[in-house]
Amino acid sequence: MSLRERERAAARVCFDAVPSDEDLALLGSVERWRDYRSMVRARLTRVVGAAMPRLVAALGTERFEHACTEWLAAAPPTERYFRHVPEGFLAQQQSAFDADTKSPWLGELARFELMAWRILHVDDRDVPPVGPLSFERPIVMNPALEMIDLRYDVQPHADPHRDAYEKKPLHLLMYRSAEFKAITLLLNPLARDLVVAWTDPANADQTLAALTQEVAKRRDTRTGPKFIESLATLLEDYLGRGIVLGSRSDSVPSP
Amino acid sequence: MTTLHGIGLGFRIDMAADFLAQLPSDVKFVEVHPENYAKRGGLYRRNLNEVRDRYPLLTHGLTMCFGHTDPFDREFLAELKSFLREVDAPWHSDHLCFGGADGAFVHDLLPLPFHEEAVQTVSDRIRQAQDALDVEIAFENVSYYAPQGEDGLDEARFCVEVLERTGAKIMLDVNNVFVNSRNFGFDPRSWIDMIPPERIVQMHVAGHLVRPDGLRIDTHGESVCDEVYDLLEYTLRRTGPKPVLLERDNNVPPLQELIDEVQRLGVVYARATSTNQTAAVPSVADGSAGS
Repeated sequence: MSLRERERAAARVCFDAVPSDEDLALLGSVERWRDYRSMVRARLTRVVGAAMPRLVAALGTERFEHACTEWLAAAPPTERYFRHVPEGFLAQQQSAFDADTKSPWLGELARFELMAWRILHVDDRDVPPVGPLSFERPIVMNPALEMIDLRYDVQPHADPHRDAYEKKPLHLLMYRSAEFKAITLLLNPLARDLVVAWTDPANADQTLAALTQEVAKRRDTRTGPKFIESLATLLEDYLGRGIVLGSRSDSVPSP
Repeated sequence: MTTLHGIGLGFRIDMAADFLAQLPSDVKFVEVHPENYAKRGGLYRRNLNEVRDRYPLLTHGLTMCFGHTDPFDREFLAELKSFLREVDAPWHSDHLCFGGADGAFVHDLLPLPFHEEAVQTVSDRIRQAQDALDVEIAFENVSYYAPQGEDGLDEARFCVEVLERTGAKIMLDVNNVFVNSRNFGFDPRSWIDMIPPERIVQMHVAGHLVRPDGLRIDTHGESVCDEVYDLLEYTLRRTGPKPVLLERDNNVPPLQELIDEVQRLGVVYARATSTNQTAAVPSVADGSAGS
């Protein structure tokens, strides 16, 4: 047996829903290769559980194990970095969770938890030079920031014994704080549209003033003193939280 | 080449906060897995920056898998090279194993058969890594649980063959030699004797689990056992001073327990490497045995 055939047999033993007797025999020690299978699968399912503990609790042990079996058999992990493995799990299982009629919030819970996991780890070093916030320059946002629109409020319950989530459309912003926590903020529709515009890479060269006016116009919102006052409060809050880092200091503002 | 001696500790997220608060002086260096830090921000990056400022840092990879037959991922090699330069790694080690097939990762260290095709595959891959990373490469002998050769010493012969073909170094995991010796019934000192001591660039020690059926599993989740201390001392008497790293990845205890282990390792280290204790033991592999 060539080394390549051996690798493939070992991968099948680890990932197939049921390892074949033929593969186990090829590898030479049925008992020990079953041990390898157990160790590999335990490690992979453990990281999924670490990333999405409330999802795993909602699924229950049996269904979670079934989901992992499906995932590993259909789409073995191709993520080199271990922290990315839960992304592969959810990519393979998302449609099943979304289609769950008994727990219609399941898919959103999974997305929400995985977003929090991602936020904790995302590389935030690739930012342009930052200066003081100016309306006449492009805004620089924290790279460890994501938005999510939900139909169900799948944020953690105050009561951990509650096992369902109420239907309640939400716009949430999640960011990594200076203390390395994933923090969630509830946004109104206008704030949501503003943050979407400010974080869109396609708008990287647009000034804060231009983007803000564009959103206000699209939403038919009057940019009078009350709007300006609310915007200033929002920006001050976001600067304090580290959601907004400042303005680009290297760019020439668009005319 | 950096001269690095003494006992180091695998720097892990579970104990990073306590470690950075205490900055234990018994720990002479730390080791990190680049895969845990490359393209990652947040707490991991902050910890890395802090520990780099205070300790010499070594790197030990998890996914190069020198026995893998898939071609190297060039993008990953570029990321790794950038990381190794960033932290000024004196060498980089990874495992003598394979870790998946056709682009899939098992995220574990699967054992290689000790035959010619594997020697050639490993040797080719190590040379590619040396060229791509522009840093000295060391490979680590792994624990394995399914028989891979005719006898337990086949692994040592395999390692020696790779050393001869590549010019690489070996990152000798003393615990793995011991675990394999118990699982497959060979003398671990004979295994150590076959490795040219001058090719050993660094060592690892760790704890392992003994299952009820007697199989020993390299968990990195227990304290180092007495027999591994003895084997480390034996090895250090052959090699002289080399950096020795304590690995602990599971069941991570309070930091002080790890420091206690580091101190105990330090006593063994000092005893084995004091000038009048270190024997210039020739190796079988360099052809000078018995001279």
